[in-house]
Amino acid sequence: MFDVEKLKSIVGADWVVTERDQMESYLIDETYTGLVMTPADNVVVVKPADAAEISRILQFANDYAIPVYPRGGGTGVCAGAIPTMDGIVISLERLDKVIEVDKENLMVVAEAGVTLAQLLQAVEAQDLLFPPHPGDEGAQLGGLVACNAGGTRAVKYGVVRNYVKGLQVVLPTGEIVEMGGKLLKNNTGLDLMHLMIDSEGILGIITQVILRLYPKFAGPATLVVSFDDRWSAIRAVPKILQAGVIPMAIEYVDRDLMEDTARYLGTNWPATVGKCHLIVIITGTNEDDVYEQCQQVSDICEANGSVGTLIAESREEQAHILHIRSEESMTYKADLSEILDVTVPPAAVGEMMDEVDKLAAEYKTRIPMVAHAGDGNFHPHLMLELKQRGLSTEVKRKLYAKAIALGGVISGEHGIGKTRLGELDMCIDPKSLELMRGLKRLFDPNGILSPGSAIN
Amino acid sequence: MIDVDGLKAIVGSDWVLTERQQMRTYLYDETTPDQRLEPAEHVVVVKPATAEEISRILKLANRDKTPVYPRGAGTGLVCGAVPTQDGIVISMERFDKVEEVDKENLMIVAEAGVTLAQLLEAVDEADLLFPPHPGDEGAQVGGMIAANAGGSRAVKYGVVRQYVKGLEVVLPTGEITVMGGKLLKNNTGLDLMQLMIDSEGILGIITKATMRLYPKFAGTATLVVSFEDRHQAINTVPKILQSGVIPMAIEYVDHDVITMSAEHLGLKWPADKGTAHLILILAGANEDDVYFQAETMSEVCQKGGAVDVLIAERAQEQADILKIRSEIYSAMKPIIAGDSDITIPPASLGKMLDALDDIAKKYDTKIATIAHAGDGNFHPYLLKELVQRGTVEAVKEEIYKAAVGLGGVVTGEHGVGKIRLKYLEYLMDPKQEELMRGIKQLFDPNNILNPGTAIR
Repeated sequence: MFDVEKLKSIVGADWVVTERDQMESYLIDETYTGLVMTPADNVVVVKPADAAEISRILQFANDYAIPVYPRGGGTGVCAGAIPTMDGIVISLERLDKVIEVDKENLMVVAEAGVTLAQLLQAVEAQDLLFPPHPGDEGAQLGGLVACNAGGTRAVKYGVVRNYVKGLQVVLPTGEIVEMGGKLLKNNTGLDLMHLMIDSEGILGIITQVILRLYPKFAGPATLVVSFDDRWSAIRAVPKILQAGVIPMAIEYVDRDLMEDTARYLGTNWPATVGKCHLIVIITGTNEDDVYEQCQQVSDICEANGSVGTLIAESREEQAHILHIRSEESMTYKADLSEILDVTVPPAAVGEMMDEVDKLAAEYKTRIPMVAHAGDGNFHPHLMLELKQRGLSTEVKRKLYAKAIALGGVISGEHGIGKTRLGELDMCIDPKSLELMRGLKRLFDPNGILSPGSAIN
Repeated sequence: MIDVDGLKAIVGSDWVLTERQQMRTYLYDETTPDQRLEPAEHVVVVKPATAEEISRILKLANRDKTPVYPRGAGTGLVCGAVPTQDGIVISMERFDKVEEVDKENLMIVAEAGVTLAQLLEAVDEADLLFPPHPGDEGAQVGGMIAANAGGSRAVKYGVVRQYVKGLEVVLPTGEITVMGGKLLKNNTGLDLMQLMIDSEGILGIITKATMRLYPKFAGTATLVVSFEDRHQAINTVPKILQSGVIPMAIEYVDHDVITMSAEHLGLKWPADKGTAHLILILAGANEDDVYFQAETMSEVCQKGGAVDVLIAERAQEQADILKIRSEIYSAMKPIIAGDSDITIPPASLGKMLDALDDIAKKYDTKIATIAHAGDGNFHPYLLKELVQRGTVEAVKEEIYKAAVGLGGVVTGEHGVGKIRLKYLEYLMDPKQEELMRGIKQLFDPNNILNPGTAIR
């Protein structure tokens, strides 16, 4: 065991947790039941107040070669934040200040422990918009950036990477560095900031972020378009984009899954026809523009075989639809082994889904799925019973092989974490893996930061 | 000595140039004569046809420790492509095929030597759009990505980085790797593709790219807004960004600079009032939307003191305006000693302009200025008289210091190349420079690829 007193001298005794029963919530994340990893026995949780304290903790950890696990909101689903070796968990929860919502530059400066909910509220209060919505609003900004979160509203302006303009990072060796700034263009030297984004906490601990904001658009309006068959729905997606309408989000859902979720939540799913739906979120320059775009989407879908379109305009109606959509994974939680995150070229989504159905039939299981259809990113759900039959790895690898054959990857937004390391070599060549390992060594010569995550 | 026979054996003797007089155009780029570096004496130019040939050239160069300079179209402004040591220039000109314009996925797959003009034409034929316009249409795709080009149409959807979804790269050690794909989300391992973008040819040679396309907007318009005072024009820009309308481009030009470019092209600049202009390119889902945007912009500009607003709707008129804007550099080149590429937070545009005025006054000169104002990216032009007076360096340094003082950087889009290395110290801490050197060493252990560029 290592010197807890030293940690106490850095952050203060009140901010060091050593009792196991007080730290349970810091040892797990939202990783699905079938994959969950056991945290190590000897873990200390520290709650530093600023970058300087984190720097000192990392210097201490380097001196004694102690593994360090940075932790944000713990909303990850790949065990990225789980301390699987004896070591220190650094919780970013006290770095919780929105430093500035800069209306002139349309940027927000916030500490890494600020939650997505806090950010959205601060931005909304200034009548501005942070477009992406990567799901759980308890997620922290540092985690959103370290994992390059995606989510539903990425079609128009992209995933979190596109919004990140500046970072303050404590490097594994303890140096506090600033990257970027309130800048829309920056080509100075190699871009370490973009390397830090999606590094899953293995190259540094993000302590502050600068994110681009947008003016609030007119709308949104949410359409639920019903189709009797999946291919009609999927084929309508590129037609919408080609027509010049770029929605904030285009989601694919099966109606039975939405109805099950609504029932689980004690409410009703508003659409009553069709086998599946596209949920389309539209914004525009003014109300007329939003209306016009809704009409365009509705017409295009009709030309592609839709059997009904609901347009939700009130805030409550839209929130209701999105709530059901975002809670779908809770419906089967007890029976769920894991949710996959394959991403394929958007036009290949239909083929990928057919493969999923084929595998479900072949293995006599149920594989429900939702898709961020506009992004080609989708989430097939593997059930616990499949794992109990010892077949989930086999099904998963077949599914991955198909995604890769279609030009896709095994993770679009959730990341690799500790649970997908075994399949990383299916889509990354040995030389690239070697370079990634070299980068890790360069930034973190003692391998202390989040060991066993993202790369192997 | 360079193994010319070895090179001939790889690419065929027709594709190797050894005579100095035949290779003149391969030895320079567009850097102004007063700033440019002289090429080395012993240079061989090779023109490979495939990634495999490049791989073999790089292996040969590693064996002999021969410097290799990848070359696109040579439109760079910072000597990035100039072979300053005896070595091999690899021209990408034979990689000139647009492999696919994929309408379903809204992606283009093109070889690295395809020019921007070729790309725009192929995309236009498919009725799609590649939004950014980084100036010189002779630029090649590989160079645009290696230099993360920006240009005038980056306000709405960002710089080239945001469009790059996949790359084929020959690493300095000769391995051919594929990164990303036709994917809108991809979180598998560390993001080497992002590191490759803006690496200025020091980490690998890009041979193929997959880039995101957009639908052609149904409505577009270009506004030329005139102001009597350049400060009024610049101070209007943040107001535009906050208005809720996001133009494709917000350009600032001095009236006498843009008329000089028009004359150079034998065209007429449409606006004759004012001393300064904003050029706004608007795009929308339909004509009404664009009309509304134009009205909003017109109101915002009039509040800011505009004396005239011209609206160009015909495609040819709009193309002429953009062309006159894009060719400013070639019109100015004979009379300027140097240009700079500072980028600051957009809300500080007015302060930067004040600083430029002060510096011009102090050094008794005129600093003609154009700016990608919506991005906070300024290109102040320094006149040749400063070289004669021996003050060009002092003026440049004052401009950089002012920009850095406002939270800016010395290069927003042109890059560091070989002529801005000494200014890196203004904004790069020693640790980050050390990491960049480490990355270079990891990718290129023999330091053969474009040595002396981008990092110190």
